[in-house]
Amino acid sequence: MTEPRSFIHIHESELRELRYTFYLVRKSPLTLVGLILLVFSLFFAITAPYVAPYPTDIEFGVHLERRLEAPSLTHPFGTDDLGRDILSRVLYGFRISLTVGLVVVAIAATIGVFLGAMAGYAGGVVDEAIMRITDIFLSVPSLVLALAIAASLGPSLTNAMIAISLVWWPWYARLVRGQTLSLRELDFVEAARSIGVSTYKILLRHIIPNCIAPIIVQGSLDVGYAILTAASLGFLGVGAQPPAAEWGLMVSYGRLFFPSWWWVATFPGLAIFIGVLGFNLLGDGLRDILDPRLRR
Amino acid sequence: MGFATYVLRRIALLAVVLIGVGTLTFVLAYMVPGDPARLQAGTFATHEEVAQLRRELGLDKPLYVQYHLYLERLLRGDLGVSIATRRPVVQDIGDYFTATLELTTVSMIVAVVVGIPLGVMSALKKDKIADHVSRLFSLSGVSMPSFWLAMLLQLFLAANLGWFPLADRVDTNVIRYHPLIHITGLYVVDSIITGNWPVLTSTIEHMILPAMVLSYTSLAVITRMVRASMLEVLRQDYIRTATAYGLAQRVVIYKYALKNALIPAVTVAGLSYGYMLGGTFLVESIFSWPGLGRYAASSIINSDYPAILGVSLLVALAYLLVNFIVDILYALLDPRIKYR
Amino acid sequence: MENILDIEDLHVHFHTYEGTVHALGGVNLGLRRREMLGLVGETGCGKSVCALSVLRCIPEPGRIARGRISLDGENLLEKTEEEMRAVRGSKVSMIFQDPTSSLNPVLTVGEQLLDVITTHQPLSAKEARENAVEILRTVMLPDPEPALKKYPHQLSRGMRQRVMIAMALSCKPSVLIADEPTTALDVTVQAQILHLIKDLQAKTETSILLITHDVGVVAETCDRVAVMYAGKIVEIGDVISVLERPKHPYTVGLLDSIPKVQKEKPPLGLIKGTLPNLIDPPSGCRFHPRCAQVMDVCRAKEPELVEVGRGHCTACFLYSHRNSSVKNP
Repeated sequence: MTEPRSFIHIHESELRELRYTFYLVRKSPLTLVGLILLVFSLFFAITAPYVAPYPTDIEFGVHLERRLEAPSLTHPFGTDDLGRDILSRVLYGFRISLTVGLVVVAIAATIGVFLGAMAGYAGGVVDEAIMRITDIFLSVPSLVLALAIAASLGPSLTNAMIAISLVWWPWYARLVRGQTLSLRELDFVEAARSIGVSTYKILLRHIIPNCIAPIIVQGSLDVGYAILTAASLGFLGVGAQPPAAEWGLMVSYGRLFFPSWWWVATFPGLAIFIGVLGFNLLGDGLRDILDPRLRR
Repeated sequence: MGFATYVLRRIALLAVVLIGVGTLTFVLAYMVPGDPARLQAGTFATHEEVAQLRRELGLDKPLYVQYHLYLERLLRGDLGVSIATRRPVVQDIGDYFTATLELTTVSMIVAVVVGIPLGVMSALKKDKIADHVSRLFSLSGVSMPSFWLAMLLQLFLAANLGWFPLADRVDTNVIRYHPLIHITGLYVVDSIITGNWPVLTSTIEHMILPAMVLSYTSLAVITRMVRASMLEVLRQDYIRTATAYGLAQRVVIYKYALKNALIPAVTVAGLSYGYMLGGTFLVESIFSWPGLGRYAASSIINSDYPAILGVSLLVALAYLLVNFIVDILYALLDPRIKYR
Repeated sequence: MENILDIEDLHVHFHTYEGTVHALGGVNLGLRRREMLGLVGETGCGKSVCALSVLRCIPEPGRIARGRISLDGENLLEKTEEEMRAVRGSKVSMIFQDPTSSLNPVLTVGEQLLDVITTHQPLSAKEARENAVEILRTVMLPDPEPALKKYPHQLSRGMRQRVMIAMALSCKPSVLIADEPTTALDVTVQAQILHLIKDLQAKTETSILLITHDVGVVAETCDRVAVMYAGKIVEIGDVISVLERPKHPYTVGLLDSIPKVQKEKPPLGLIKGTLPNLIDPPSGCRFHPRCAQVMDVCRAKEPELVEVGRGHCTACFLYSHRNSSVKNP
């Protein structure tokens, strides 16, 4: 009679790997800081309308009697020229920016994964064509191209998100294409092909699941950059439009009151920095930790 | 003859991509809301004038003909007419181009000259305090919104402390009394050639803050790449060999390791130049630097689509050329490509 | 002094997350002047660590915990880093297994060779270059002069290994350590390189420590052979003596498991069990869990090398009651 094996027994090696991962996370102070900032950002993204001290100020509140007040106990980040509490608006900005970041990366990754896998697997003309298209998109600096697209579509937050997604998918396509090229030579793919599994099924069930890991690492890093790009577009005026509480827009708006009423522009900008920094710290740390060659 | 074919292939690719980018801007131009003829003619033009303009611009012709005309115009260097100024975009851009070129070149030099040693130091002192500080510094560089940094620096170092001028490319008084002869359009170069020291100092003074902001992100990217690359190289067998033969530390690090580590760093520097070009759009307005970026930013405010697209095309061209140079450099640095 | 190189009671530890790996648990090895000593053992038994210890080039997180390594009487473990640099490449040289990854891809062969020469010898540029060409000629590299300007990827693997050998011998070291020099090469090239090494030894009077997992190579080229298991030397002696009359159970098993070409092919021998975990090495003799002739004392005490024939020693309790332990094998 064989002994019954407990959960811990069966998954012993996986648990050990996990424990080792946590050990590495604890060892790296920068990664921990990133994790904290991230949790912080997520918290405000979810709870902003409930936690903000002046929720009505977020978009449409007008309180001229309190305009341009310096940071104080009642208004820790001060007020803008319409008397709106800047802290509340900045907190709501977490919601907008995080949403934009996640949506953009999701769309770009999805498009990129499909096109990249197709290019890598099919090869030949399809591959060449898709690669030339990615070359073209990648030859224009991303902010500039996103700007051109967003401007042509008409300035709005939605169009900015579309623009950034369109500019970013080539990176993922390239990444996945590379992975697919090496995967398609492997035996299990050969085996599936020989028993007549359709190309579509091979891509979906075999190739793509194996590409997911680097996509996730790259994607989590990219959320930060997506936030930064969206804020930059907002700053330039082709992203979110007033009276939205988007950070980039707030900084550009705050420029009008610079330098005397410095707080209107400074705090939203600080929020951008903290938000993006959190994602970068964590992403960087995770990449180091998950790199198989650096373990042990 | 591996090198020659490599270069030729790169040139062919460049041509294909350029046409592709032109196509892209054509598609974007087509998507712009509103009637291009009306926008160009202005609100006061009559219906007949607008119709006349429409025929001239070929807007009544089928799509593929318009596409053909568009590409033709691009090849002639015609980037369209600005809605705001009613002048050809190319004319408006003129001076702005060299101003941005000067700023980005200086910023790139700073990024490389500071970034590489910083990356090497960070790799050698891995996990020590200096490394952590350096990593935090570079992480901030890629996380910080450049427009925000620009505003803060302007606030503290220029407005409050008065260490640097607030804006512009050069002091207008200095230029008035010491007019600069334009040879290349690059103030630093021209002032050195003509021995115009007041303009030189004034230009450098004005460049410091914008260059600091602009170079920060590229510097951060280069530092990170050099650090990662050095760490990777230092683990290689050939470094073990060099140490096992008693070669001096300095030789091992700089001759044996760095030379290998710089190869991917060069590519990354080229890519970050693109990011820097985008950065000029954000930073130039804040410092009133008279370059392409400021022009683009104001074009956006004016909804001047031909101008926006024209600048984008130009920036793409500059970026492609820089990356072309980087590709060549890469082949020169890596003997495995140079000698097949 | 009889031995040019003496390794005494060498303990090397690797401090990892999972614990301290006792890679070498007290190695005793002597290399005689002008001899070719083979060091055999399975992958992971510590042969390379042993070699790198002599040069003090053990990678992190390794440390030499205890022991003495004497080169011509001088204890290398007491030297400063600066002094060691003078030893590496000039008194003791090492050639590595993979000549492709061991040479720097962005520097020419000439540059790398000249760097080694000029680091250890005060020569003018012209003299150094002549030196380089000469040594390349000695290792039979075709067209040595133009070869100096070539990059490693432009040469074949066999040529690259010759370049490595040239680098190793350029400063006329007393000891050459060859760590699996032929494993990465084609069989025909293997023979050439071994022949070259043997030839050069005769010409230059260098003492060579040849590390390999291929017993056949040892049989062909070496004067003496040492067998290593789990970080300890279990048998050492004259090559014919050890290979024809192996004493240690591990050596016996090792030789049995080598396929031989014979009319009647006996079944391949097997050594039961697997290599021990060196974070928690077996008590006493490290081989005892797998030994068919294990005795109680084997589990309790670590055996020392005792002489079982002329110059033939083994570390096994099967033989120690008869003979006294040997200090310098």
